[in-house]
Amino acid sequence: MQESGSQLNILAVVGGWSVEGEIDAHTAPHLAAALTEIPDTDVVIADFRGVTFMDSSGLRVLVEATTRAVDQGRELIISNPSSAVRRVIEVSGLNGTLQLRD
Amino acid sequence: MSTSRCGQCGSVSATTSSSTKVSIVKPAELVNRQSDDTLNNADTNRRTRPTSIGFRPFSSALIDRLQRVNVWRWLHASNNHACRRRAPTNFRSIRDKIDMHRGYPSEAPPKRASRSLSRSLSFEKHRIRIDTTHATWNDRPPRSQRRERVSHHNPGYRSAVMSDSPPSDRSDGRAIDTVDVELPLDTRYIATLRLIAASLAADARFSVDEIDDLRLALSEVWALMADRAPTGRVAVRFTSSTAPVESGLTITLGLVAADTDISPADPLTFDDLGRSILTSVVDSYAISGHAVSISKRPAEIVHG
Repeated sequence: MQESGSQLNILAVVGGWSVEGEIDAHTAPHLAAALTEIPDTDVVIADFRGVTFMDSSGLRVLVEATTRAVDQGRELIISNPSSAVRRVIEVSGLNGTLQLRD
Repeated sequence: MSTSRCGQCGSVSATTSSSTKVSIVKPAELVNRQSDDTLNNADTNRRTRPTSIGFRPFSSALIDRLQRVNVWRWLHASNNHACRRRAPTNFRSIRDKIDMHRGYPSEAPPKRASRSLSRSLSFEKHRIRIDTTHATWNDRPPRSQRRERVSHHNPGYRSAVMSDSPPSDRSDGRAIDTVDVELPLDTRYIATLRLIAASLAADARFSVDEIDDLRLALSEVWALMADRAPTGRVAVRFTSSTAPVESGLTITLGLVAADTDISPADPLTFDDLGRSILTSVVDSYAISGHAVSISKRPAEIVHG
């Protein structure tokens, strides 16, 4: 039987990840697990083109991953954020911490 | 009520068997008007031989009313496919059920029709309960009875919109919808709840961005509660008012008392991040003990 709840698909691609779905308290642990291993490139890109929803649980994961990437001398970029993702990052005042790029 | 098991496929039919609480409450005035119906040949048959799913017989007026809100089509389908249907436990089928509700406020409710149309779905497997009531201002009960009616489903809950709305200007077709959902406090159900909220907000003419804000707020509240009482249940009441000039949605989430293990001296509190998000995305929010209430109005009514 198909499990109920929000869905999140994370695909490892060259130099980062491609993320699709909704990131909330249910799916954030999956994202955290996927983002544990930072790819070995200077610029790591998380493609958020397919992310339709994100709440503060997702933010915490992203901030943590960004901090870890910076510690390793790398840069984590969130590319193609939807308006919903942009909104939550703006209202939480994390524009300076997270790197967004269209 | 007893559990009925399908002889062919062995599955318990959660939506249509007599073990569940699917019920259409027939408004009193429609019962009285039934004898006046001229198109009641079919009704007579139904009256003497109730449908297999255990509903009370339907008058043609009620069927007409149900067809307006797509409920009838669903009941009809349920009846025919009772054996083949599985319990609608997954996300997609729950959404289908909820989508039926969306036909409601977009068309003006008929003035002479029911005072309220109640519908309950009960999905035994995950014990999600959805009740909806729909009331128009034209048909509202006197103020003295209103409180009782509201608190009937969910003692201790009081909807701000229901009790505080001005009694004047009742002829503008303003409608109040109350949707009660009770579901396990598990993070997996937040997606379901967001979906209901988005659907109701769309009906209340929220813009896409405002719907996103509401979904976000709901998610924050749910995450806070799930963090504190991971095994509880939550009763959620959506009160949406739709009108040409005034719309809004109030959502109250309360831990069901019997299952909560939070002491009253230890109320829910948001951290800084949650608080700043909530402040930005809803018009107001309030925490009282183990209940959180958020409310939002669309900034600009989108016509059409």
